[in-house]
Parts: sequence; structure tokens; C-alpha cells
Amino acid sequence: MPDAYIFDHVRTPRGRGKPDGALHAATPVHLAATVLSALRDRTALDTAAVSDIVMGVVMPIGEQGQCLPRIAALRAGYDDEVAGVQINRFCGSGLEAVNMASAKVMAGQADMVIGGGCESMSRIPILSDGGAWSQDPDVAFATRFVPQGISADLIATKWGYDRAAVDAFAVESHHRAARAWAEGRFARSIVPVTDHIGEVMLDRDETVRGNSSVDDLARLKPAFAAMGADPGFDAIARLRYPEVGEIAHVHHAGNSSGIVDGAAAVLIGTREAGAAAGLRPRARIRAFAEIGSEPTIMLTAPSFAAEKALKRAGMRVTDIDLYEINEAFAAVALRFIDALGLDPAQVNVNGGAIAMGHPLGATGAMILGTVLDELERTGKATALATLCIGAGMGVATIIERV
Amino acid sequence: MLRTEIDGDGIAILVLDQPGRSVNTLGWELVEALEAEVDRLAADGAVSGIIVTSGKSSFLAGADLAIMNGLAASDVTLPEAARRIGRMGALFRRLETCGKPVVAAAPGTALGAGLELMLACHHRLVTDNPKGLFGLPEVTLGILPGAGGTQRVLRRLGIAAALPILVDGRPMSAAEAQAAGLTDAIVAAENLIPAAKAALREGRVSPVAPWDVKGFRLPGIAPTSTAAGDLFALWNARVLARTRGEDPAPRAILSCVFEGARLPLDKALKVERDYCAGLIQSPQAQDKIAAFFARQAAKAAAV
Repeated sequence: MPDAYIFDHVRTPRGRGKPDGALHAATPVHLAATVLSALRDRTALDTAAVSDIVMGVVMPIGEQGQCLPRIAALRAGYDDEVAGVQINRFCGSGLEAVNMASAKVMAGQADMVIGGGCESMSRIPILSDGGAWSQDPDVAFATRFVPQGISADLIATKWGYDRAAVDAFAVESHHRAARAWAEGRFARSIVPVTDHIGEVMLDRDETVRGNSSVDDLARLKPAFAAMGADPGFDAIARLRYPEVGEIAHVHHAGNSSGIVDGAAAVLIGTREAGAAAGLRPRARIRAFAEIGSEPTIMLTAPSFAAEKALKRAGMRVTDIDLYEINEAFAAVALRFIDALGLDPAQVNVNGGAIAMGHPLGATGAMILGTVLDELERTGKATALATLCIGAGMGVATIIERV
Repeated sequence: MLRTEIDGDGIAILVLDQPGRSVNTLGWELVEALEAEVDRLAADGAVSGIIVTSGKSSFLAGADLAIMNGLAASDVTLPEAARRIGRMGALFRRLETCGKPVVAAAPGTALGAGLELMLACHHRLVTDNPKGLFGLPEVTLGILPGAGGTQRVLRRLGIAAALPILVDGRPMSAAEAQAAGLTDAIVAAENLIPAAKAALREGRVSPVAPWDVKGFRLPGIAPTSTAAGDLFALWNARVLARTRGEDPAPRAILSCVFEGARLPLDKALKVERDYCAGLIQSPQAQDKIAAFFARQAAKAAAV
């Protein structure tokens, strides 16, 4: 089986996912084409060598629909023979896309594939695509559907992460992201997004607040208490978790992932294909895994996915130098750290989605690239990136520098 | 149990009047009699319109205990139960599509199958009888209105207005039913048949239901809209939280509305009757049905 190598990674900065956000005027195709163009130009890649482009897009409708990766490739001027495919594993899509791209390479069915993702949340809002899970009574009842915020608060309640703990984690995310920006730690990956006249719309993550403080966050009201009471999602959560009693609603906009716009792309291929293109591999894909778990608590699967990937790689938790867990909610990251017994200092070293935002389809590819940059900066070897995923899934990828 | 008079204008007045009882209930004998009568009137070229009314002070109280029990008999399979429920649905559908305008003229209460029969008529008149109750209380018996009730309320009122009526199942006064849009007019008791005849004579009753007109759309929010999705998510959660997931009836009613809103009527009616069959065969529903009929019998004995 051929190994799959990462040759390069780029991402856009993340813009606030609202009409006043810096990337709101950029179409989703433009965001995706921006990273595809950058990946090609900085590697001097003959795009005809790329077999496929796998991209996560979680709301693939409207201008973000119709198999966006192929459309973006055409718009970016890629060779006509480069195919594209859009995938959706909710919040894990960007990492799943990288895994699928790697799998094509490992299976010997492609020599070079791009994985990544794109989401303009300001233009195509989250939940725009409907879906059976919450709406179809046949499904909602059977699965004990609750929204993710309730699941996050359930995790916090079950494992005792109080408001102070989740707020402190959020503040640390902002401080780490601000330090990373100040020290230029994202410089290698960031591709500014430009407008129709070539001027920069955004060249840094828009939502990072270096002066964030626990006192500021303490003023925010819990976001999910109202829906817990009516229509009664707390009662539904307790059907599965009667032992938690009253659910402590500790999450709010300040300790949950931000809604943002952005795109990312990772160039993956065999060592030989890279050599033919004159590229040196930056890391090898050691292993990856996806997993399902109980859907009402929903967001605890990252540790299960990580353990599954570690097992596939024949590695132990302590064999990994750096971890990236998507900060969907503070309690998700805290639970992941505790479940694996990690040192918080080796997790999300440069902040995460609480500070920089979570462009649904792209985040997985972004955090993989972020941790690769950090491995290189610190001379470390191995990293694991993982995300919690709607409906109780998790995905994880282990990379190793070469 | 059924008598028909045809007046000089060719208007057939079909009177439900089961002998020896104070109220009409729907049993298989009445179903069979209605099947034959609807076929006969539909085929009679001299009949210009049909009025369905009652010889009692009420209209039709619902399906009887024999039907309810029989559908859960040990030798009745789930598909067989569904087919038997479907026979009632098919009867009402036959009435709705018989080609002649049909007016329901209810002197009083129409609950369950009684209201389902009214909803299958093209025009609905009720009286100001203060004792009159109108609704689909099946949910309180652990079942659902399986002869078109969920689908015709949905199609007449739209998703948002239909959900509380179907999920809560609370019987309404004539005034409330009229305000909800379930009926077309309230008239004085003595004016019931004259008003029904006038509606037919004046050509105010179309023999085609709105949902049988090409291009029909549900009133209110579209089934595929974000608003409808949000509304279903809200109701799913409310009902699940309130019932702790232990009452399958309101859940099945929500499913009938969710699925039925996306289907043409005939496919939707099959979905509804199939869900109904599953509910009625459950021990929980049979317990509730037995308790209900025991209460009725006790009330009747006390009178």
C-alpha cells in the first residue's frame, strides 16, 4: 500500500460569518478557488497531475451547492481533467475530505488528490439544508434529537465543567490565537482573500480577541437554557442521562465556536508523484478513523475516534506530540483532554475555533494544517487532529513529519 | 340505520339513524350500508347533490367498540388491520370523489370518524346546538384518525394550524370549529336542511375537493420551507419531552402530518391508515380504548 503524504496546506483567514464580516462579499466558489489557486501557484503544480478534489461543504445548497469543488477547480483554472467531489460529514467534513483524499492515494487509485473544505456561513447559514434528523418525527423521536448546544451543556454537567472552567478555556483559546498571530505562526498557511480589483478583503482571522477576559465572558447569558426549558430539550436529554439531574447551561456565544467564512486545501499524494512535481513531503498520513457514538450527548466521539486511529497506527496516546481538538464548545475540548489524560499545554497550542471560528466544511483541514505548521515550528514529530460531529460522530487523523 | 329521501330538485338526503340508540356510531354494518348507498346515489343520474345528516340530535360519534377491538384481535395481522381501516378511508374517499356535491349537515356532535366523514364532504354545516362537540380525540385513546382525518385537516388548514388540533385532540364547540376553519357555517337547528339544500341549489358546493384540483398547494407554510422544518422540530421536541417518549400516538400523528404534507392525498391516506393500524394493535391503545368504552357504558347506565 502506498503511503499518502502531505505536500502543502493553505487556508483563508476566517471572517466573521455575518453581513458585517470581512468575507461576506466573497462567494463560496471564490473562497474555494482562492485556496486552490494558491496551492497551485506556490507549489508550481501542473494541475493535470491532480486526480480529484475532495472538499467538505456542509450546506451544499444554492451558490454553495452543485458540487462546489469541481466548479471551484474550473473557476481557478485547473486542468479540465481534474474532478471534484463534495462531501458532508457535518463538522468533520474538512478532515474527512483529507482522509478520503488520502485513502484514494493509499489505495493506489490516485497519485495526487486535494482534500479540503469550504463554507460561507454568512451567505448560506447553518441548518439551511433542513434534514430529517430534527424534523422528521420518525427520526427525531427515535434518536432523542437535541441541538448541539444542549449536548455540550450535558457534557459539562455530566463531567462537572462549570461556568468558570469553560470560560477560562475560552479565554485561553483567544490568548493562544492572539499570540500565534503576533508571532506569525500561521504565516505559512494563510492566503489572503482578495476582491474583484485585487485588494485584500481579509488577511487575518477576524474574530480573535487578545484582550478577552473571564470577567467579560461572565456577563454573557447562557445560550441554550431557554430551549432546554421549552420545547423541553433538557427533559429529552435526561431520558438518556437521568443521572445528571438538572442540566447546567454553561455555554454561550463566547465559549462556543464562532460562525465564520473560510476555505482550506491540502495537497496529498504519493512520494513519487510529489517528486515528479518537484515537491518535498511535509508529513505522512499515519492513520485515520471515523466512529459513531450515542447521538444525544453527541459530542464525545473525538476521544473514541482518536483511540481508534491510534490503534490503527499502533500508537499510544503518549506517542502523539500535539493534539488538535475542534473547539465546537469548550466542554467538548475539556472532555477530550480528560478522556485521553492529556496535558492542556499540548492541545490546541495556537488556539482554536472559539477564537478563530469554525467554517463547518473547512475546519478539519484547517486544524490539520495548523498542527502541521506547529510541528514544524517546534521540531516535533507527530500530531493528531480530531473533531466532534453531529449525530454523534467523530473523526481523527494522525500525521507524522518526514 | 340509513334512509334516503330524494326531493324534487334531485337532492338526496342521506340520514344516519341507527335504531334503538341515542347516538350513531360507525360500525361495519353502517360502513357496508354507506358503501352501497354512496355507489347507488353516485350512479343515479337524477341525483344532483347529496346531504349527509343524522336522525339524532348528534351527527356521528365515532367508530364503535367492535371495530376498535376487532382490529386488535389476535388473528388480525398488521396489514389486515391496515386494510380494514382503509375500508373506512376508502368509503370516505369514494364519497368525496363520487362526482356529486356533498354537504354534511350535522345537528350536533361529530367526533372521530364522525368528523372525518364531515371532512370528506365538500361543504360542512353545523348547528348552534350548544351540546355539539367537534374534534378528533383519537390521540387520547392512543390512536389517530385513520380514515383521512389527519390528511384532510392538514390540507384544509395547513401545517401550523393542523398540528395542535391533531396532536392535542381537544373537542371544540361549533363556534371554535367554525373559527378554526373545520366547518363552513353555523346555522339554527331548524334551518339545517334548508341551508344545506340552498347551498346545493345555488351551486355553492363544488363536487371536487380543493386537493383534487390540479395545482393544489397546502395553505400556509410550504412543507419544505425552513419555517415548516423549524415547526416540526419544535413539535417533535415538545411532544417527546411531554410524553417522555412513552406515547406513540402523538408521535405517529406528527409523522402523518410530516410525511403526508409531502404526498398526494391517496398515498398520504395509506401512510395514515398504516400508522393507525400499528397504534390500534398496541396493548396501550387497547387499554385506553377499553377504559373509554367502559366509561361510556357507565355513563349510559347512569342516565
